[in-house]
Amino acid sequence: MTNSVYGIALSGLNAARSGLSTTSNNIANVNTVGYNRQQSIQSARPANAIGSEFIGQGVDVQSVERVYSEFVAAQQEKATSESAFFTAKYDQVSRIDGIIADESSGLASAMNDFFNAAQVLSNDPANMSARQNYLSGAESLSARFNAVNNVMDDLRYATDLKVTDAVDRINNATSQISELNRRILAYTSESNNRGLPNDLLDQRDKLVVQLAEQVQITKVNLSDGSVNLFMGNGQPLVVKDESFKVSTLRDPEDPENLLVGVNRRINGEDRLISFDADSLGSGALAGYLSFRENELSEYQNTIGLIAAQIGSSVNALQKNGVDLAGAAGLEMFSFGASLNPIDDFSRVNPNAYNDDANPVSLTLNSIDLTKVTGDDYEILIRDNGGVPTPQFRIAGDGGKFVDLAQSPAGSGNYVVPDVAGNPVVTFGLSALAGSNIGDRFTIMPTRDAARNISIAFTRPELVAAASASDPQPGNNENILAIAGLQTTGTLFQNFNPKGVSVSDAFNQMVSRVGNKTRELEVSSQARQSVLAQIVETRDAQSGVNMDEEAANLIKYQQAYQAAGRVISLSKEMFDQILGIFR
Amino acid sequence: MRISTNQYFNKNTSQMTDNQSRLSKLQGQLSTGSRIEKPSDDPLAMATALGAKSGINRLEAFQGNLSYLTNQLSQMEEVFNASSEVMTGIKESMTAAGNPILSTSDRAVIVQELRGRMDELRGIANRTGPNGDYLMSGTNSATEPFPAGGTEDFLGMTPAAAAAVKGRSVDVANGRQLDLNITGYQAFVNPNTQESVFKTLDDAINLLADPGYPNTVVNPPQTLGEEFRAKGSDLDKIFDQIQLSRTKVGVRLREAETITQINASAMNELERVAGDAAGLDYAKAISELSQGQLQLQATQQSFASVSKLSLFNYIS
Repeated sequence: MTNSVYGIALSGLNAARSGLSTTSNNIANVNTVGYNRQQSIQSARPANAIGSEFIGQGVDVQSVERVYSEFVAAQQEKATSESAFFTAKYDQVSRIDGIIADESSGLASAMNDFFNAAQVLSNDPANMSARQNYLSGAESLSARFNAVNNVMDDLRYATDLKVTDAVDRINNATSQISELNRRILAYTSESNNRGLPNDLLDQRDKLVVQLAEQVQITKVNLSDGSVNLFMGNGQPLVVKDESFKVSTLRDPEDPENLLVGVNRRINGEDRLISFDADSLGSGALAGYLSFRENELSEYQNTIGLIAAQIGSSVNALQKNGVDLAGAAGLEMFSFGASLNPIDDFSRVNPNAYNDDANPVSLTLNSIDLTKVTGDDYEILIRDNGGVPTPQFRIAGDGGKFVDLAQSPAGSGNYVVPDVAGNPVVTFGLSALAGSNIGDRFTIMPTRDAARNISIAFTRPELVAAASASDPQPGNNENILAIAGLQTTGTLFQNFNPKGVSVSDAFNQMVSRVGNKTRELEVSSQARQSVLAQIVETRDAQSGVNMDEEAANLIKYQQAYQAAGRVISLSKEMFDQILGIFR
Repeated sequence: MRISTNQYFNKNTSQMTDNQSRLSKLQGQLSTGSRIEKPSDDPLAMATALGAKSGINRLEAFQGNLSYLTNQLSQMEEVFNASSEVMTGIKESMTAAGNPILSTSDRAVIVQELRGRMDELRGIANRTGPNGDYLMSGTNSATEPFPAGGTEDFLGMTPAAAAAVKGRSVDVANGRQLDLNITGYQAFVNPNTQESVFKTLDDAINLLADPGYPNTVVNPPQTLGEEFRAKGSDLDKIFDQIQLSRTKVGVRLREAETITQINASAMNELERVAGDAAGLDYAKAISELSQGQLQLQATQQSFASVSKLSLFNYIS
């Protein structure tokens, strides 16, 4: 009898000690990120049948389990991806939001100053200081265009850095997760009865959340304790103890962009199969890519368009007029060294994988700035019954490639139309061969305008203020026409010949940036609060509460003391029995 | 509901951070006086404010043009006032010279007087503005309109070319331009004979100085005296031109003043629009600021006192 009392008391002592250890471990990990509180699960030992009664045999510590909900974890991963996507995109767009309308660095005031200087010059066109003031206005306007474009270039470059960083984090997390899978599998395969290694599971869950922050994932829990992870587009990242790396590569269509994908061997050469933002779903990586593909390119092209239109309209008027000496006016704005405005403010990128045997060149013949939108165009040479034939689509919208008309027919001068059917860009191609099928080009009609714009002369007497019909120093007709550009609808005439003026086009862009930033801010706040709620639910269930642990400490301490007392009591009882025989 | 210790700390810190960021935004608004710092704060209001600001900017340019124009036209008004005075004197002398009882020496005095007045008138017609431009030369502002010793034609041009010399217009309102100049051709050239005031005067003086004045027949059927009187009525015609120019300038000045007033009230209106869109409601902002301060203080105080509570304090 005393034997069993000893045994029962001992089992109680052990259970209480295990409870105390678990509690201490919880207290120790109160600030450990990703730690799920643990509970020592006790169960009564099977009773012994003595006579007609069952007498209990004490307690066993069945397992130490973590308080963890797979459902909440899955929600947290999903919410983390979505919150990271919108936050990443919002962070980038808000950089543009912060500078675009700024009084001192924004474009609006520089444009106003330039056109006001033209007005002042129109009062007194022979006045050298008014001419100098006008020229300085032009110079600071082009400097402002350069600066705004610079911010956008920086953002493009920053996106490259973020993409590299995200890829590093993804690869780092997946290799650690596969290693944890391996260690967990090593435990679980030894014996089915052993409990799961809680701390390894916690570590792995933490890494999965970190991975979800970078890229949206699909998680499959396997019965052996391991997890398999896939990207939104089905690309496997972790399968049991194996991880798959993602890599970066320069965009073959635009060497300024870094793309993400996986390397595959195609026809004996390594090629990166790249992921576009849409196929990735959510996560910070998709946020950065989506910002670059959509907002950044659109804003940069629009700023470029305004710079190109101001520059080329002023140049055209300059050439119509005469300078102070009565000589024909020169171009006042320059877009680059080649002195061909189209080449200097547009960009044509041949795809890096284009055919080497017969390299094709694409030459822009004309750009109608009054019809250009913020879009870039992709050109594809397709197989038309064996005849290589160029097609186009608007870049980034994933639409179908459409055949290009030629104007005049058969001239080889291909016409890219706008939505209303007006010609926007025309180009020619060098001779095509069968091997060129599949070649691609990207046309960016105004991408480099704001980057390249500068003033072409610094002598104020070269300003062509007078019209050629009355080449007198006091004539101001030409500078009046230049001042009039501020409010003349020279842009976006696609559907309305009245068009939109350069100032209005800029104001509209400011409003688009503001609305987009606001929208992303609201979305990112909403996703963050969803995430915060889920994290709260997780914390409420799985986080450590110090008061609770203090109570548990007292509870297990008392249990330990009581069990100890039982042992000393049973010793006393044993002594008593021995005393009978003394 | 169960909550974890970390959750309690996180929740409190995030509440305090939220409070602080709201306060810092309010402080920013109060210090700039603007409700919106960047487009995303209120995209519509930002676009409205930007549009209004560029409108104000253009109106400022117009007002600048108008003040230049007013200045220029006032100088011209001076020119015409002074020329009218001189012309009145000339007319008096011409009338006096028509008196047949005048002796040769009397006429010589009048000839001297007329030459003096002609020089005076030339000085007025050739006046320059503060920047050295000839006021009456239209767009040919660097050329003297009636140089002494020249052909006495406006800018030395043929009548057709002289008539084509333009003034310069400037923008004074949206789609509205005003002419800055009246040319010497318009003011000082006889529209019938195409002769300038200086040519006519010179001819008249030469007639008067002729020893055969007034009865010698020089130009059958006219005598010197008859021709001199014809010059007198030509001068009257030019006097009318000068008066007409003076009226034109006066009308333009009045118009400029009206447009200046219209522009000023349009600017006020746009300032109001920009203010409504982007301006800060100080009363509201200040009350929000003090409310925010109170909230932050309450959060801090309650956090400080509640976080001290722990069961561990009682385990010894």
